[in-house]
Amino acid sequence: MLKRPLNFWQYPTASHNELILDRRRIYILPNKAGLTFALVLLSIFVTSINYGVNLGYALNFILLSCGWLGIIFTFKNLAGLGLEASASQAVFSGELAHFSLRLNNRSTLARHAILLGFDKSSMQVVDIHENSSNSLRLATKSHQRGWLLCPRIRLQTSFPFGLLTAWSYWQSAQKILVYPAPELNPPPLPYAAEGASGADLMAGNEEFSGVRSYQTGDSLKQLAWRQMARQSGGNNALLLSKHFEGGQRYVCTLDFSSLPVQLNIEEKLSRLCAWLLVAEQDNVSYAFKLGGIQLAANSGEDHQRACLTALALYGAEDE
Amino acid sequence: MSKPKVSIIQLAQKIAALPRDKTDALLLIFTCTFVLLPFAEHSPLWINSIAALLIIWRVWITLRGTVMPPKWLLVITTCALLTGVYVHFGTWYGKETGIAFLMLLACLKMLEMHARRDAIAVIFVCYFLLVGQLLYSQSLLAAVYLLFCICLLLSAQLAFQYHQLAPSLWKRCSNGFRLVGLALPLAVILFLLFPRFQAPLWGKQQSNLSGVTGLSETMEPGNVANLALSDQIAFRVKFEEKIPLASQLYWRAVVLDTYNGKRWSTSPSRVQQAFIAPAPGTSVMQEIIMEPHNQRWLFGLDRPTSVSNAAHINNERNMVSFLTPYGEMRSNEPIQERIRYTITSNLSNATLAASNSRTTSDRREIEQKSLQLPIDTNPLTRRWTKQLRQQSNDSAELAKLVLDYFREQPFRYTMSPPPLGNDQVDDFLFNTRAGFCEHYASAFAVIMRYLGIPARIVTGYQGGEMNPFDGLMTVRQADAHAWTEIWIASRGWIRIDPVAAVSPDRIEHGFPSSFPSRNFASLLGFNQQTWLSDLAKEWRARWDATNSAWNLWVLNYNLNKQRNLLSTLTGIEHPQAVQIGIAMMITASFLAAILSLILLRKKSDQGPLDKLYDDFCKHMGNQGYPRLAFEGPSDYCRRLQLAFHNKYELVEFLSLYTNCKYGKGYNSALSSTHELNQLAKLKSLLKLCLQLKPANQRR
Repeated sequence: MLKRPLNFWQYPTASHNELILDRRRIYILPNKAGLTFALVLLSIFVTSINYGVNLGYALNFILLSCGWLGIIFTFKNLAGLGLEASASQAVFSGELAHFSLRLNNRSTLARHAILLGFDKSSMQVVDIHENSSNSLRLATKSHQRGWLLCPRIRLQTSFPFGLLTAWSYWQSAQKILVYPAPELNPPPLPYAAEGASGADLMAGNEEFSGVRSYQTGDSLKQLAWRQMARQSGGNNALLLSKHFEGGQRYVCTLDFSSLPVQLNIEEKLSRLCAWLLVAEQDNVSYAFKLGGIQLAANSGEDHQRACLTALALYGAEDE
Repeated sequence: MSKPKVSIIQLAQKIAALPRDKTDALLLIFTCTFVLLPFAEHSPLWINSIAALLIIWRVWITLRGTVMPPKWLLVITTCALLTGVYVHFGTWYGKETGIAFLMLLACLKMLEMHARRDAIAVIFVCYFLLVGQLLYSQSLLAAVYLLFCICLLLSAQLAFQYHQLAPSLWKRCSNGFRLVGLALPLAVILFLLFPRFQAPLWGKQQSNLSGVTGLSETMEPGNVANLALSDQIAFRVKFEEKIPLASQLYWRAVVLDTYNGKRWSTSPSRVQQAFIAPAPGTSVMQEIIMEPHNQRWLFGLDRPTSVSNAAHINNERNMVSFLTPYGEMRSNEPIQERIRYTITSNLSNATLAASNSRTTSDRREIEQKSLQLPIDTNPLTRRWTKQLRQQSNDSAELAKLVLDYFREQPFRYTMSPPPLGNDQVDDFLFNTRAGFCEHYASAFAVIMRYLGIPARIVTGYQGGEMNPFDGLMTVRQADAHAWTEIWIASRGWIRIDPVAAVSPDRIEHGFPSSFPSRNFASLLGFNQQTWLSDLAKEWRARWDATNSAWNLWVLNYNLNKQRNLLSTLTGIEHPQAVQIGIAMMITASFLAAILSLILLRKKSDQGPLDKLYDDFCKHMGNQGYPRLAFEGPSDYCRRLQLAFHNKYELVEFLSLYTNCKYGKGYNSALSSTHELNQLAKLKSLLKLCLQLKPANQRR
């Protein structure tokens, strides 16, 4: 019973990941227009005193009260807004990293003209309808491989009067993995880099010989969509892969330690990254060796992602 | 008839259909026009027309979507216009210059409106111009207009702050009105309790009274008749006791005793002499609230015996007032603000024929002056007075003979008499025989002087109208009047009103009854005493009372009134300005706190459906069966069924709730009537459930 009035100000914490802006996080001060407005009020006031205009006082006080209402409404426009980070995609170094976030408005009033951004010079403006949420992405340039922490996000609004600015900062725990930048013109894939067994015969990929049930590791490109549609007919998902025979599928090994010595670590990582991309594009299976990480020859998105992650985080484990 | 209405609706629809930036721009232009409109009356024609042109140009740009004028053109126009303002007023300072300057600035800035910042600048200039409006008029109407302008300006200011999600045009226009509604309580507290300063901060206030109508220090034929057209209030009177008869309501202002054949004026040498007291009679106390007239005389019932110092109602500044030997009331400085003073008058129509030797010589002088006439004028009148002189020797009897002449001959009392020739009195007496009060008074005084009786003119007001709503008597400019006083040795100066002989109605019933054609109702073709004229009269009285209250309580709300307010509210005696300030801070903080609590209140996130379920669970919890955190409604229902012996309302409530909440087709927006029906049903079921008691307790 006694706690109720205290709860009056507090907003419910909705979920673990979500941050709700409350009065302890929101700052509010008059902006340039607000200061000018104060100057106008002062001159109205002085004129009223000097000419003994009693209604001038009334005018002044009405405008002053509106200014005070501005504090409340501007605060209210930001207060109670829920901030949530959502999944963001990894990028290659040098590309723009897009942080996705959701703004949840649980209020029965719409929120207008909220500016968001990493710095004051480049802010996005969003409106959020009542009882709804907005997703948006904030971009920042990635410079270094590894984990890119989301920079501090500034939210600000001067709605409804434009005289006061309320702002808040949000340090989201979100991070984006930055892969090394691929080398621009990499040398060809090192097929025969490891002695005679360099070009192993693996599952063929030249002549179509039939379909078999999907096995982990089969490339998505090998899925037999037409047969799957014909056989399954209904809802039960039966994955089929096309099976090829004849022809040869090359396997190569991408090994960090076998790269030329004159390259530094970052250049080596860049080359490996470029090779990974080429191999995946050419549908070549590749084994991957980087420091303590050894991955057997394989192909496919998951394999590539594992390799790229290893590249991105190389040397970071020690820290 | 219906055609213009339709086109207005169409216009409104057309405007609403415009893109938002255009409607916002139009709203601002419209608002700015409203702010500038009241200045049109006071500022020079060329500024008005240029402002109008600039506004029309801006509207054209908005509607047609043409480009804004280039910057160099604006710079040149601005420089030219500012030079024009300087040349016109000859100074950079002063109210008029400042207002003209700001008016043009606001219009020009609208033509240079590219960003939100520019619109805000226009709005700020308009805010300041609002004070300019108040320098010209602070009437009730002006205040209402001002409030309207504030609301519109706030709406315009808000309209520019929206991003993409913006409410409808109507909502955007009404925003300001709602905001002002919210702001008013705090504003009222601040207005009531902000300690008022007493004097101007610097300089002397300029008077705004260049063109005030009212009596003047001279009187020519036509002067008073001109005033009779004005409905303005001259002063209002509060009688302490009984209200005198209408025929006794002679409000004395100026005594004119110098005549040059055309014009009556005050005598140039007005030394302060002893005042001649009126003869004893009924004494009447009046409190008079007088409108400023930029002259030095005050008004009071004939004859005043004493006058209190007049005080400015606005700041309680006192001015010295005194009575002249002529029985006039004067202030030592021109009256440029509304003032209040008390006068005691004696209704006897004569002065004391005192035998005091010192005042006798003064009196002689006054009498001598009151016999002077220009030579070689009005030969016919002179001859006629000679004949009269043979009939009697007694002054009073002679006066009566002249009044009889006015009464018996076909004299007319009219507001638009034919013009008089060179010998004005001759022309009036024997030729036109039509005139307004100044004609009669003038003729009568001249005749008296020819007869050797000292005579002078008194101007002032006659009559007055009781306002039933506040009990004050209103005297208007239209009640302006002129009468005469003649000296009779035994009785001193006695008042004689020749108009009473010609048009007794004027004196008995006041001005409007003697001129039915002037009345508003009869302009519409109604007769004097219709319900419409009564209604009009009643509304005018109401309006006067409201205005009077407005003047007293709002415009002249000052430190003294604040003190009274505070001491009646809190019991502090003689509060100081500091205490008033503290009271203001305390009250304002309280109000602000309460309002913020209301405004920042979190509206519950729950829909009506969740609210019902919540209530249900709370009740069951109180009965000893709280819902467990992991329990859904159906599990909970099963458990409650055991405890409450399968009460149907319980089961029904929970199943209907489950249906509504999780079933298909339920929309939290609650749009369709079906959902509303279900909600009502749930509510009635809940009422039954709330009466349930667990079965084991009943035992």
